Amino acid sequence: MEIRRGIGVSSGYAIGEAHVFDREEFRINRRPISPKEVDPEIDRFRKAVEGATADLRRQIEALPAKIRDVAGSILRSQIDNLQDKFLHEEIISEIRKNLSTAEYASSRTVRRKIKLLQDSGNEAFVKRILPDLAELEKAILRNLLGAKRDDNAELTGRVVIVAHDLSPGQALRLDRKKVIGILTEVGGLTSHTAIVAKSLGIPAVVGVEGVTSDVSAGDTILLDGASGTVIISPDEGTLKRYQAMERNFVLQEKQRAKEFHDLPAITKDEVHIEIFANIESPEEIPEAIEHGAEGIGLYRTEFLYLENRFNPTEKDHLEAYARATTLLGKRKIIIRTVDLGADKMSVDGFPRESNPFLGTRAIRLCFERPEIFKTQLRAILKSAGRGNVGMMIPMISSLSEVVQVKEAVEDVRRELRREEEPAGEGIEIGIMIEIPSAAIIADLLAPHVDFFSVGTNDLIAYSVAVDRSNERVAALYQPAHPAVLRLLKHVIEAGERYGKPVSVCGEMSSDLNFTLFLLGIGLRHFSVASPVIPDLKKLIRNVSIDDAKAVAEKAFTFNDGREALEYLKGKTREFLPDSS
Amino acid sequence: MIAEKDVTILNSLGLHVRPSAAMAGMAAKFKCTVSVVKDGQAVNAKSSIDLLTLAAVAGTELRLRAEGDDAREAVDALAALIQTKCGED
Repeated sequence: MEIRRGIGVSSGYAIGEAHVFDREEFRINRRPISPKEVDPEIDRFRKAVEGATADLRRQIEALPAKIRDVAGSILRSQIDNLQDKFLHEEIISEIRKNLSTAEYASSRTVRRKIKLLQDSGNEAFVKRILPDLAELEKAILRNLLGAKRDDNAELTGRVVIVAHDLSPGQALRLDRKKVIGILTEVGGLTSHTAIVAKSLGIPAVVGVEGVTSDVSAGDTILLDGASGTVIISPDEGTLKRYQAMERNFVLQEKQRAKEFHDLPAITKDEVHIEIFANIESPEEIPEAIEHGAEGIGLYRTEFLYLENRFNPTEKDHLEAYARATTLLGKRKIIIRTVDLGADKMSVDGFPRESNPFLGTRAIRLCFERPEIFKTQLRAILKSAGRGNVGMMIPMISSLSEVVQVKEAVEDVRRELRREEEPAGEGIEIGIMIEIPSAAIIADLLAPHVDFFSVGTNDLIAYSVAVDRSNERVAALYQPAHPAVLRLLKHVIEAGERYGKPVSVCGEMSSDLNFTLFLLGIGLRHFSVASPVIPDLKKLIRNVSIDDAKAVAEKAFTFNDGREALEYLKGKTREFLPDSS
Repeated sequence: MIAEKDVTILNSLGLHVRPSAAMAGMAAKFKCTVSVVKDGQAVNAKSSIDLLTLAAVAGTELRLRAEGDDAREAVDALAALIQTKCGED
């Protein structure tokens, strides 16, 4: 029995058989081939190059005509690399002289080139070019060694997935009936695996270094998604103990969900609080509704991009939004326009930015590449009539951006009207408040938008100037920092003054320690991770707005974020005795 | 015949994927052998991948070297191409 520790990102217990996902590392056959296999092997290689080239040509064809020239040129250079005759000669020579398999020869030759590149010593250049050469190797190997697997196809029982990492696509495609737990080597509280696991209610532990080497397929794994404990091959006694805890936990969860599902979220003094859920894909909606969500306050559409090679078509958008509105019926959904950086989107013509966090991201990228914005806007406006749809723009930093967005929306509307398509007349347009400048001028912005939604994660990071993933400074990221508390109050008050609803969709709204404070400064709309909803409702039903106001007032008297947090934690325990 | 010419890379991102593909494409048009030398290290100019391994960033000085009947034309054409940043920027 082995005990490991990681970061618990989604509570619950999972006890099941390990199913280890291979990294995309191909098993390269090193066995020498016989002399008569040489010509067929060379043929295999040539076919693989043709196959890889054809793949790239298809990808180029699939690009929207307008950006095909520009975005396609990177793909065309990949084709040039693939077609390098001298590279072919080296690989073929290796096959012939060393009796190597095509995959071994290809891998070795490309890696030799990579080594030459790395030895050149120019780090920045190497960093930029290395992925292209790595991709070259992968493209050839992919075509030599066969197709993509359906990750779920091999799952027979109820398993705990063990992997180095899960791509967002993989995380969402997991068969929830078969996958009862997730364990990864990398990742943190805000990684995609964590977000998806939490919203799907699958217990998950991340950041357990080297665990894919420690675990063999079929080993019994026990996960405690709250504490981050992982036990490999637990002994009899430990297993029994955890099985009892698991039964208890599941029972409690079910009871909680049932108890609160039909009860409205109203305070003791009968103030109705709206509770919505955050989702990354329509598949999470049933779970959200089951937990009591009244609507979706944040539909992060980045997954559409991550899933479609950063190039979803209008049809891809429309299909996703249609699934969402069908599942939601009359319930509201706020669709957030794409919040990715130019670096992630590999947009052609963009030099690598040295600071993507402060660079061409989200709405800025959409202004630079209007075709990207237009595709999404068309789909959102067309979908507006199918349900209760609103839209929200990320990373707004000034009023001129809001004006520009509204003009863009009007342009798209005119186009849709000409085409006699539904044009989303009257759709609500709101903005994310996540950049400090926007928070500070909330009063100037409020008259021009239909609502605000505060993205506390980024708001805190930008305000305190901290990169959460940088361990050296991560502790500076304090949601209860006096600056953050004041900014929140200012934003909510601006909304109130102009009659515009304000919601909080960042992690802070899912953190029960902040509920009292947020209620106290006037927040009436929460958009949270679904599993949190029952406890959030419970807390709201246990307090009155006066209680909350008193807590908020006291919270403002602290000069230090940590002290304020301790105070809030204590108060939360008072109103919700069994909170952690 | 042997022809040589010294050139400087002008592209802001150096001799990355697109310019090296352009260079290799141009070099391939000639019958002579063509190599590019950087700090004493020579690579085959007709191979776009080999050109990449030079990691020639902006401002790098390279020597073009060709051997064969059309060596002079090859070296002049490549130098001109590099002068126009291989069609980039």
